[in-house]
Amino acid sequence: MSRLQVVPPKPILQLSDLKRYFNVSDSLIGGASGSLRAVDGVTLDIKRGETLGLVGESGCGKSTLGRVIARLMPATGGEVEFEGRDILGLDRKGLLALRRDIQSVFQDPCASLNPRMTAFSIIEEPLVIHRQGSREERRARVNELFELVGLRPEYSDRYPHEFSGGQRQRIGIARALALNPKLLILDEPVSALDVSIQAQIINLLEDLQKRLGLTYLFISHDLSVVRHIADRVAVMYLGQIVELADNEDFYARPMHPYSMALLSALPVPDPHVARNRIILKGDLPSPANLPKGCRFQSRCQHVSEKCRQAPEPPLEEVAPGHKVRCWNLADIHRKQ
Amino acid sequence: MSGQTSQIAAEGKAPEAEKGPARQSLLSRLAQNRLSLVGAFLVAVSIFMAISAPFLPLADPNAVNTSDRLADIGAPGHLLGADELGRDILSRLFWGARITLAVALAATAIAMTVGTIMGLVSGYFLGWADTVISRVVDVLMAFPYFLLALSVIAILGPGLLNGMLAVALVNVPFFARIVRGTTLSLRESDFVLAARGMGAGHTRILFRHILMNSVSTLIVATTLNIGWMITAAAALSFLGLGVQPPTSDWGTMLASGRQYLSAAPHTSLLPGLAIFFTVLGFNLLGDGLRDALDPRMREV
Repeated sequence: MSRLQVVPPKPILQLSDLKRYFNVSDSLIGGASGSLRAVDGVTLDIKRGETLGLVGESGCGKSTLGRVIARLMPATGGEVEFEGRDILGLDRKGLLALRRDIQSVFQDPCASLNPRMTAFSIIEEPLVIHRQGSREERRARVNELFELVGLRPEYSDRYPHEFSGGQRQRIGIARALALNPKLLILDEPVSALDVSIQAQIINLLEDLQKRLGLTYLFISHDLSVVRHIADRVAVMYLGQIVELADNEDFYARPMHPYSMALLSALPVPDPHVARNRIILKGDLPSPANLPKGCRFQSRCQHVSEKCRQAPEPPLEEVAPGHKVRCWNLADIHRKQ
Repeated sequence: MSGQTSQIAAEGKAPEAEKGPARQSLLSRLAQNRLSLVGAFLVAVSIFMAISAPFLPLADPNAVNTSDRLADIGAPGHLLGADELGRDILSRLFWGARITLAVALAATAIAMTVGTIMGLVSGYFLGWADTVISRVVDVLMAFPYFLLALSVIAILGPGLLNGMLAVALVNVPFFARIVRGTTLSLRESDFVLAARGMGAGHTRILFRHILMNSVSTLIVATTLNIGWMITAAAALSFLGLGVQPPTSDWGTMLASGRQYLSAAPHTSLLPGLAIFFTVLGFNLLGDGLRDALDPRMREV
């Protein structure tokens, strides 16, 4: 929907060459140690009011990317600009102000809500931290948030374990919305829920986006969910974006061999459509020990000599708004 | 029970009504365990003795009456006999309960507070704070318990307060270890991450999120610890290093009765039994609480 809105030229969030490495040591006795490149040079824009779907298999660094953007984790390198301001070098005060604008919703609502706090105090907490309003004003705001996410305010004195999974995720969303953020990092917000509940939460998120003008970074491994909610899709593989395209464009014409393989695994509702599944061979290489050249070479059907040699392929715009990171695009798509 | 809950919630009753079921289920789980009921009863008796001592028509616990020296159980005027100075044993047991329990509870409170803060700081901040605190705890734990308490007394001098501090110090590592463990796992939890994402400061995260979720573990550890504290305090008094006469707790009663063990065994047997049943009570109650509240603690 929000695709139809007039989009201001300046993106709300700009990532350039963002990196996050973790130090790992190989053996118990110190020994050789290296760095695990969870996020390795991500350059990406998120436009105001859109939903950017970030997909990839587990371990590809998508959650880490979300956490770095939400400043839950420091970056190793690169830049993140929110509304034109650098957010990686913020001082304490600036960071606290940023927290009002960027909030996160986590995957497992069971783990992300403090079991010893009532739903009311969970949702009130951000207001207390940011010293917003008097006690009565906060109570009114929390009740408003309860209704906004479709919960009955009468339940506000209950503890998280007294709610169902879907209701808990609604509490998590209400908490994230308490400070009127502009950008929500949704880290697999429906992956822990039943399919029927997933639909309810997705609808709630779409509804909230329309009403509050929110921007979403929707992190998921579920391509069907992303197809439903995202305006644009970014595919991540081993810490890098390998394809970025508009929703329709991506699902109709995936260009990167990895995206093609992912999409070929999606179930097709029509039994008469012949399916041509691309099975990826082998495991995800360790992000601590990356191959030289293209990162996808070990599992790619179309691998050529060029892929095995440094440098890595760049993320290039092959059609308007459609970026792909691959050396052999011309070959692959001519064959088909 | 959940049906009941939703009914209460649907009717929009006060929050107190909401908390009912959880508390009930803890009590009912506790009640299922017969031994923990016995424990609760024994603890209740000793606490009753401590509280009621000034209000009951008891003889003066320090009134010396040499004609009643070592009076037997059931002797006229002395229901449980009298000690070597003719002081009423029943009265002394009641008044001694006050000192014994007060020392044990205060020492536990001190150990718990200091140990909890150490555990929170080391488990949450890690780094050099963790290194320093963990090594201090290791050093304290390397001493045999009682030797450590004795060396504290040797430095501070004997007395009620110093004895209390000594047994408290010995138990600080116990609490520090437990709290450090729970803090280590809780600091990585999603709700702590969420709190950080909201902009919560360290104090808020430590106390509202981590400590609040360690409470059940702490209650269990505390209950189990009190029994040990009573024994340790009594042992110090037995050695004459704790409470000083004429004030006396069960430990000093035991010590003074010891010399007349063959002639008047009840003078030491009765305070000994009082210690035994109170410690047993706290241990049984602690075991029951552990099973009902926090099964993970069984490994500690």
